[in-house]
Amino acid sequence: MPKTIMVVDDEPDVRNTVKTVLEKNGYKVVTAVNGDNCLEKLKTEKPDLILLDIMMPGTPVREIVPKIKGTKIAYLSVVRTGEAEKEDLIKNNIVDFIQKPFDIKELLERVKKIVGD
Amino acid sequence: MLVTKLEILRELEQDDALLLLIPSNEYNSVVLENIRQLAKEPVCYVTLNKTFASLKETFEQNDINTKNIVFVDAISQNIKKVPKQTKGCYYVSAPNALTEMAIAIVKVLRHNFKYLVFDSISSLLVYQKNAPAAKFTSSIVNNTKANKAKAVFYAIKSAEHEKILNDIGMFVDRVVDLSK
Repeated sequence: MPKTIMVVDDEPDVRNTVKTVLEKNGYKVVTAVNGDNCLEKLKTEKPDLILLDIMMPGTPVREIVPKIKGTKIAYLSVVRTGEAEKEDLIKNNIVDFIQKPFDIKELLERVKKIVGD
Repeated sequence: MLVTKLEILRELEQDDALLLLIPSNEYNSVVLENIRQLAKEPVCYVTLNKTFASLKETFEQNDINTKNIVFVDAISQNIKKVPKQTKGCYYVSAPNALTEMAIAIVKVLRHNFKYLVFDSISSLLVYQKNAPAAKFTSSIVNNTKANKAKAVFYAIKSAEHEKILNDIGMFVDRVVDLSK
C-alpha cells in the first residue's frame, strides 16, 4: 500500500510540482488549495503526512493545525522564522519545517525520513 | 554599483519616498546594510516575509541596534499565537489585512519616526492583487509624508511584477534600480 501525502499550498506550481515528484516516487498524493480545503478533504482522506504551506489565504494555519488530529504535518514556509521560533513551532504532530524555495531532492528525502518509502 | 554599499541615507536626503528594486541574490545584504544605516534614528519596519523574532535575531547577530526600531509584523499571527503588540512590535493578523496594517503603521509613525521601511512590495504581491497593492502603497507614502517621515519600499526586481512595480513607481519620489 503506497503512503499517502497531502500537499496543501495555494500556489498551483508548488502543488503540481510536489505532486508529480512524489507520485513518481511511489506515493499517493492528495492536494488541497488552503487550510479549509485540507480540513474538508481530511473527512474522507487519511494521509500519512501533510505538507502544509504556512502562509495561505483563508483560515490561518495556527487555527487549522489544532483541528488536525493524529496526522503528521511538515510545514512548507516561504516565511523566515527565528531558530527558537522554529523549535517552538515543531511540536505535537508537527514534525518538520521545510524552508521554501526547497530543493526537490531534499524534500523527497525529508518525506522519506518521516513516512518511509 | 556594489549594491550593498548603497548609501541609503544619502539617497533619502534627496527624496522622501524610494522604491528600491533589488536583485534577489543581494536582497538580504541590502536589507541588512540599509537598516544598519537607518537605525541610528527611529525606524518603523514593516515585515511581510520574516517574523519579528527572526528579524530581531538576524539584526542583533549583525550588531545592528534594534532599540530604535519598532516592527509591524504581518506574519507571526498567522502561524502562532501572539499578542496584539509586544515590546518593539505590533502584530497584524495577515499580510493581506491592509487596513489593519495601515492603522498599525500610522500608529507608529505618529510618534516622530524618521523612517519607514517596507519589506516588501514583492511579498505584498503574493497576497494581494495589483490594484489594492498599488492603492495601499500610495496611501502609505502619503501617510509617511504627512508624518514628516521618509519611506523606503523594497521589491525584488522581476519580470513577473514589472508592470505593477512601474505603477507603484509613480507613487514614490524615485525608483532606484540596484540591478543597473
